[in-house]
Amino acid sequence: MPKPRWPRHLKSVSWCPGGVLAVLTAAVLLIGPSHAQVAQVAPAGSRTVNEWLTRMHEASRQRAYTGTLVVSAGASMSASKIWHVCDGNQQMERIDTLTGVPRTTVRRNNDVITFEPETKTAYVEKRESLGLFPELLRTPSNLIPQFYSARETGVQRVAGHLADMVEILPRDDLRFGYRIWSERQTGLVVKLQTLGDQGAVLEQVSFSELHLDASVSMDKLQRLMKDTRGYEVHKPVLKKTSAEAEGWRLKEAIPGFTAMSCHTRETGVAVTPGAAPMQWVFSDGLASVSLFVEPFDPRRHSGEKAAVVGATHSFSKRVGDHWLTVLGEVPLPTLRRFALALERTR
Amino acid sequence: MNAAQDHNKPLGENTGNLNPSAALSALVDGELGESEWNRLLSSQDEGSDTLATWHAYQVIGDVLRGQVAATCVQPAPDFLAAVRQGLQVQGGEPQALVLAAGPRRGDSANDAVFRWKMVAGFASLAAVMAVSWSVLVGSGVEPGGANAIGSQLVNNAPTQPASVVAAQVVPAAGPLVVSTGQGNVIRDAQLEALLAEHRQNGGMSALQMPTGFIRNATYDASGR
Repeated sequence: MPKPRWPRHLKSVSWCPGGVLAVLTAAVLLIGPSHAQVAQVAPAGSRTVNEWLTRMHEASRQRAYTGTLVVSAGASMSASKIWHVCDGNQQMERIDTLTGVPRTTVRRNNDVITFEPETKTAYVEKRESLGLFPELLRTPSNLIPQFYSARETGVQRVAGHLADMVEILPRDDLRFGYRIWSERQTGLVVKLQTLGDQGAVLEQVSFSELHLDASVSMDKLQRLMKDTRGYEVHKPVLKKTSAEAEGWRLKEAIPGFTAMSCHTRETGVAVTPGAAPMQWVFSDGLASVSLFVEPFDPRRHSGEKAAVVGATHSFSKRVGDHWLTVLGEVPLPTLRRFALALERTR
Repeated sequence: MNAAQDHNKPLGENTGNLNPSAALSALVDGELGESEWNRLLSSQDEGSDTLATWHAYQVIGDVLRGQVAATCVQPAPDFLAAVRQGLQVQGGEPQALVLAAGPRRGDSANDAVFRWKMVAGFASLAAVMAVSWSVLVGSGVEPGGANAIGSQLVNNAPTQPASVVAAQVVPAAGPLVVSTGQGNVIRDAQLEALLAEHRQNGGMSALQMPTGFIRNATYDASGR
């Protein structure tokens, strides 16, 4: 039976010291935009939110690139080296972390393998969520334009490339906004900020270096993906289910959010039926929310609590004999609405 | 300070008459002539008296200027002795570490000139005092300090007073809560595990493919 994939920090108490370098880089990144070269662009030919999202998505399906990506969330800062290649049918990507624990992630469409050289462990997964968009953008169930609007705000240079700045702003206060820098020629997203109240930047992702149309060998990536010699391979098992089957429902819908998937995770430990932790995922097309439900355990669970890291908020509370944790890139009041709406059906 | 009263005259006038203690005092006040400076350096050894006197003058100066709570400052020799003792406890003198690190470099060209050693000594002392002072002052948790640690979670629970500076360890399975000026930073392993699962399986977003996936693969580095 494969072991569950636990985050590394569960194995070790000391994790992620915020290094001086990271703080400095964070400062540089945060200061950067205000000094960046800004030029006004004519509002002509403005695209709708769907058009922008489709353009951004297509760019990653059609272009090869290499670069360095920096992620800043809350007080933490991470960076990685990226290789991306596509051939029309499939996309491949390699991500080597440059901060924290050394790790190499290789993706071919929805298949993902993560190598951790220090522990000689590899995790093989299928990420179904990766295949959902942008097909959903073209269907009537796409609610994004109903809850978000797009506006172009100018042109800025990011990682040496001119990029259109687009703000995708929520029409209500149940979700966050986004400011996206989309490379002018290709549409590739080169920088993305998640915006909270009054435009405060909660989290940002940006290329600090980007080479478009770089030569990336798909064969090499495929060989790397298969080469698990010397690695202990884990395959976390997700069991598809439905909230209804698990005995849960939302008595009130949260505007814009649709249930996308529901599963339980095999933990490797025998549990009574219905006691396995359940993850029920909702999305409004841009923001997603996970509802985790597990049996209440007084040794591990206490009173109601809320927490935040970057743009990701969480809210936990007891629901009858269960412990609920709602987690997502949305404002805390939205999570509370989910928590209030969840009820046991048996 | 008393010694300083003796040399309120133009520099160099009385430099030949100062005793070492007065000369040191003049040095503290920045009024020591060059010839007396050389004399002072050549007449001193590395004995603790000089350091103690130097330290005393610094403390007196600080008290007169009302800049520090001088009584809180540990005398430099004591501090240095504690450092040396600490190094011994940790297994070896600093010299041993240097030897172990590689072949010893040749003597500096100015090694034979003792005044350079004194200058270096004073500079080191000043550095040690500056650092120890900042440690003493900064021993309270600074607002940004604890917050700079990794992808910790800042607890928004209003029931916890944000101003309390304390580290609270709760029973084994529970979260470790560290209160800071900016809220409670919690290290909650269970929550972090769910966060990781949310990022792996919950990333249902149109932005997932261009950016979300590589963002998560990158970001997890600090969260795991």
